[in-house]
Amino acid sequence: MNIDDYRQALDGITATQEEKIMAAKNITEKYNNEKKPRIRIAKRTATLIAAAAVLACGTLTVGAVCDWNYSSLFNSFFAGKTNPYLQAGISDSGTEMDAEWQAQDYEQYDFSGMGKDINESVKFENFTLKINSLIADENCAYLLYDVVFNEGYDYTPVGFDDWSIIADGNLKLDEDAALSADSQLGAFGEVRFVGKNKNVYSYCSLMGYTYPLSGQSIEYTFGPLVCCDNTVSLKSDEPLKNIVLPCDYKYTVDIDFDVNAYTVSATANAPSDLGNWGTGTITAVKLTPLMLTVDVADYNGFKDNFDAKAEIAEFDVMLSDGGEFTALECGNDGDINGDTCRLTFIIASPIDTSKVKSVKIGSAVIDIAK
Amino acid sequence: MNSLVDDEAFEKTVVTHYDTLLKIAYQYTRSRAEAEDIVQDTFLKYLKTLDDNRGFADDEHVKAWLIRAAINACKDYLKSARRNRSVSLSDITETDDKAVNDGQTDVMDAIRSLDPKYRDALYLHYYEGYSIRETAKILGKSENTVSSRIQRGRRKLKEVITDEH
Repeated sequence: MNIDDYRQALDGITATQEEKIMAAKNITEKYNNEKKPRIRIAKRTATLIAAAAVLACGTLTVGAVCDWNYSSLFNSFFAGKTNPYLQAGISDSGTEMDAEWQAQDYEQYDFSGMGKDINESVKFENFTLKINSLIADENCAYLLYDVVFNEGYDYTPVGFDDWSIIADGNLKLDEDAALSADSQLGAFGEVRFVGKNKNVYSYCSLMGYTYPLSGQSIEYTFGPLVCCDNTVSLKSDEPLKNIVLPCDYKYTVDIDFDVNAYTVSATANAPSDLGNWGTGTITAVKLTPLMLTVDVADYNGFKDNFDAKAEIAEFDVMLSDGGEFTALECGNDGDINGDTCRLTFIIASPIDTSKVKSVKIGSAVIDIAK
Repeated sequence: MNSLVDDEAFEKTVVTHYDTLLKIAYQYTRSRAEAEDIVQDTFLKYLKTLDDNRGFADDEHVKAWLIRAAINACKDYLKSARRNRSVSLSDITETDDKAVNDGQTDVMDAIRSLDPKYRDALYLHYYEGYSIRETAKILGKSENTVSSRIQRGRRKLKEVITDEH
């Protein structure tokens, strides 16, 4: 089988033009029937706009006035702005998230001791890169930075998407540490577009590391800015006329604060049905304010098993006060020791680990209270 | 009753993206009727999103959002199907022949047998033509994760096809 076979198999799944038009009418009718007055929405939308405005204000003033520290910046970032799809009201677990409520109900988190202000600026031909702040726990680091386009530079060309920046963060380990780390450096990483205010575009690099961050340094590499042509169909053979602004800059951040201050952990011997991820025995759980890691022995996550695939596993964190939330998978599933696999999950908003009672991973509940 | 929706614009959106969502949903559900229900729910959610004044930058943004919403709706479907399973395994594994050509049934079965995380990445990259970066953005995963899923997905697809023949 080749890719053409794959495409041909899917080509057959279509609807006629008449069926589509009929579907549109049916959906519209259903929507109109369901439509009720939604006064509450206006208030919630206003809250989101306010939260966005606070974020923009914070990113603009940092470095210039210094009224904003990393704690304020990250509180603004996490208040409903952590993921573009959360803004659209959808979570990875498929449930309605309602970002406005997230922003409204977001409890200010005390990041004291787990981050630092940076305030580093470097100029390039058409823009300035401003590195603002970093927070980190034992395995996860967030770096906030802005791209400030020069006055006079056309940063909103017609027919192009928003700017993306290529950025990465690698641990700087000495030779001995690198050897002992072996493949355990397996990390996940992504750059999130946080928002824009006129010529200021804000980004956050989220990097996860299996190797403990305590006392280490992360070398961030900033690559080119890319503005994608959206006038050409992605399936077309016509080349895209993307705009690329060169950027080649490295900045090293020392993790010189106590990344373990808020870490809680537990060992276990708990067989669990991990649903979509397979089955295994949970041997250890570690929870930091930003991340959940779970070690699973006898893991069969890669076996093709319909029953295992048919259910999406729940990875819930339960709080002492009865609250609970679901952590988001971040796709890191490498072996760490023979047949033991480490699953890692990011948490959408930082959590006060002192309030955590237990975590539910698949069918197993692990007590994790201090 | 006066419509609360811009009928013309919405119809255009449905006509443009219906097949994409149907293909995604059908890979999850094995049933044309259930796939159509998922597509309808996804477009309903889209209308509600418009109603909440959440804007979309352009049609590609709309498409990415709809794909994401459809995948989430499919996951919800799997969860509910799992919870409420009352049909036999043979019912579940039997395909809806009307939806695909006879010659492609084996390939569709192989595609459906993939873990959804591989299936979604393969579909967006190889069928919809999204780049790795765009696929990663839509799925909310890192580019490395998506690359790895595409490679593993292709390998698994080949293994399934080879095993069946």
